[in-house]
Amino acid sequence: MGTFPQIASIAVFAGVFAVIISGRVEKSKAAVFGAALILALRICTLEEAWTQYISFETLGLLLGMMTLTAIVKHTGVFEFIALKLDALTRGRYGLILVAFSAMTALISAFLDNVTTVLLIAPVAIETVRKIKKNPMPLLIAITMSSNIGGTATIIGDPPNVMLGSVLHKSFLDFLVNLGPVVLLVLVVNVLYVRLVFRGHFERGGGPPEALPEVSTEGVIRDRALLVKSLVVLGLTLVAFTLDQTLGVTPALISICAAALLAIISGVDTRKIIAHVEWSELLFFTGLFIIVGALEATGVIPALAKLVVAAGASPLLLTLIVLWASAIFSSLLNNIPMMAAMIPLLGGAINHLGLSATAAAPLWWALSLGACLGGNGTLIGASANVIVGDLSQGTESPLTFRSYTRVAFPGMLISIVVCSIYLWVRYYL
Amino acid sequence: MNIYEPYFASAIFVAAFALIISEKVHRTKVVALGAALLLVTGIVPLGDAWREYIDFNTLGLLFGMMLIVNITKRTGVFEFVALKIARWSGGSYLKIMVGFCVITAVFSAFLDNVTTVLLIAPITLYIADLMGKSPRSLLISEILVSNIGGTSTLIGDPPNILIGSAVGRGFADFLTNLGPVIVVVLVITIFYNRFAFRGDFVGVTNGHRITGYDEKKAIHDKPLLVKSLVILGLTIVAFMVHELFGLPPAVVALVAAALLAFITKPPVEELLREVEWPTLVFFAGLFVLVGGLQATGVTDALAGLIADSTTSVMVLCLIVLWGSAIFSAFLDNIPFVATMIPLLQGTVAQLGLTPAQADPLWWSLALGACLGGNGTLVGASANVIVAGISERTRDPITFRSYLKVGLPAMLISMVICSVYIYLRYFA
Repeated sequence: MGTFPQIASIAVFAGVFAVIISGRVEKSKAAVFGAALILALRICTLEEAWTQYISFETLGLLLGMMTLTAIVKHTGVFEFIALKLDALTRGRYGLILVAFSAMTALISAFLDNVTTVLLIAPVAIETVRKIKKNPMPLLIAITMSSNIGGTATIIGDPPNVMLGSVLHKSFLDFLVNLGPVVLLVLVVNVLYVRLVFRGHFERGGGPPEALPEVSTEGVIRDRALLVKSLVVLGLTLVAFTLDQTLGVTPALISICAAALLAIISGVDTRKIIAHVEWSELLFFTGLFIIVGALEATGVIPALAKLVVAAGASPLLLTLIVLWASAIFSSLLNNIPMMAAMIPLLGGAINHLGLSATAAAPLWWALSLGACLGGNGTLIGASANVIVGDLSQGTESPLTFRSYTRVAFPGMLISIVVCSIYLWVRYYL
Repeated sequence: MNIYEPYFASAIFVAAFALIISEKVHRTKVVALGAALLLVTGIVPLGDAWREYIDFNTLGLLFGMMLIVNITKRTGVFEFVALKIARWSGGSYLKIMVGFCVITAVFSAFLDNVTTVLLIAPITLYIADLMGKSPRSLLISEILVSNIGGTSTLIGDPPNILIGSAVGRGFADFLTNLGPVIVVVLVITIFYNRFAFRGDFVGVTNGHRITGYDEKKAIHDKPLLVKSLVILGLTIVAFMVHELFGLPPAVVALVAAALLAFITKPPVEELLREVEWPTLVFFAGLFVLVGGLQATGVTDALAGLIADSTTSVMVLCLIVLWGSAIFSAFLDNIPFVATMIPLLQGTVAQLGLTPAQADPLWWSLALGACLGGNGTLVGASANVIVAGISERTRDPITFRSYLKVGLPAMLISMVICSVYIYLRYFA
């Protein structure tokens, strides 16, 4: 084999990345076009792409969760919870901040972050408008909480879905290893936002004004569907926590749950299918093929050897992975990075001869860096962009500068927390 | 393996088939549930389903062609050609009939049949209205030839895609083996239409009204048209010679679709919205259902029965041809073909046939399954779509009125195919 396949696959990967950064062509078009080039140049066959490169576990888990989300979000249950929180917090901004942040983190641990903020942020803006306060601190907290909460589970954020599917880690693995630090990071971040914007949270003098009643009537659009959805979601969660006992993968659980809910919901199949984000799945598919070619042509194994040759200790390597992926993810799309880093790190672990237990902290560092790094700037994660858009109608819309000034230090603090956690938990 | 597994897999398969036939539940939901049951019970593990049973060549080819067609049809080029032919006819009903039949057959050889009739039927209504005729006979003729044209190529009809992917036959194989008989069937069907609808060819038409408009108005987007036609042309050339480059048809279609999407404006989300996802999910689920029969040995057992009772390959070919035609006249031919492929593969293996000896069997299956759809109004999706469109007119196509013309046409085409199979492969 000459060097053509190596050079071509590097060129395709770099070209696709450049096109994605330029923003001139949709990322899914770019990724799929790159994958088509790989196939047309016969760097790999369709069979290799399908059976080896494309992680069907990842696509299956994403597809299943997207379908479940598409059905559940139509019940209105999340708006209902948000409105209930509005009523319970009685206009106290400090409480609102804590309650909405906690709820956002919890929901986005199970649904994708974009859906979560799309459902929560409008209610949050309305809640703050009524007490005539600036919604900016709350919106920043919600954005960060959605990315933080998503880090806790295998289904919470696409990097985790990829990591868990490719490495065959279970739902509980994620929850046990990442859950504690995510909780810690969440608390620290909410306190941080509270501190940065301390002026906004002072209660005005005089008696609290009478607030209009919050009506939750009509928010639940379909009570029967809600019951069905909650039952299926509950069963799904139980199945997730038992995945290794049952001998099934998270992908299978989510697909079956989605099929079950689709059938008993009575919602039109076409409508459900129309709500799945196919372009996102296409983006993943394209990237898997492009990165698969990099791996098969020997580019990634060569890089893995370089990493090993640098001779870092496992602890140092863990910290490098954490910080590098966090900085990278705060500026650029973390999915191509994950697609490339998983085989790269896997190769390095092989060369170092680390056992599965010894290698685990490296993977958790990658997950924490990739997911939490997205908090750094307004373009670091899709949820950030969405909240940015939603904030345009408020008195102080989020700009790249206004968001980054607060969030970037917040992100750095959370990575410091993670560094300490990884050191204390896995290397002491 | 658990001794109950073959029965369980068969029960799921039969129940799914029955539910599809009953049309009580959408067919995609049915196969999705059936597939989920097989996966959950571990009869078909997810990894095996993905790597062995779900045929990525079929899904890739379908998906690629859906995208190409979605982009190309936005240009208005198909309407342009149809209107051009109407003008060329100068109002002669015979020329209209022949012209529309030929372009419908040609389009559906390269596009899927439903898309073809969705593009052609509305123009047919318009033209018939201008001529002061009922569109019914033109519409029925178009149904017949859309199913006939689709039979001639690998990409023309889903059964062919399934067969080509599973057996590893390319675009050129289909064209050279099925093309000749399809041309004969097409010509005879057009003559048959002339005869069956002879009453429509007499009387005055308002031909002058047809020649008075500008077909160029049909072109919506000139730059898109140029790009689409160039890529469509390249794709067809690439299909013709794909074996020279060692690329399977699915890669050709996917690469062409990716290229077309990359250089044109429509956002991916919009292009993907028009992809027939239920159809793709249906195929994937169906592969798993049939995979359940394969994994539990049911397919092999049935194939053994067929092999034992086979006296000659020719008789088997004719049974496959007529059996699949009659089945497809009433029921969905896609699950039928998906089931028949592993079954016939097993039979071929047990009879010890070489690929060359087995080929006539595959062509019989393709001809029977595709052309059989012409038998009744519910035999193929294109039929149902045209019937739906005709309900807007004063003279809608009913099940009976279609049957009187369609069933004889289907039987005639089967006789031609039987003779062709015998002469070409066994004489």
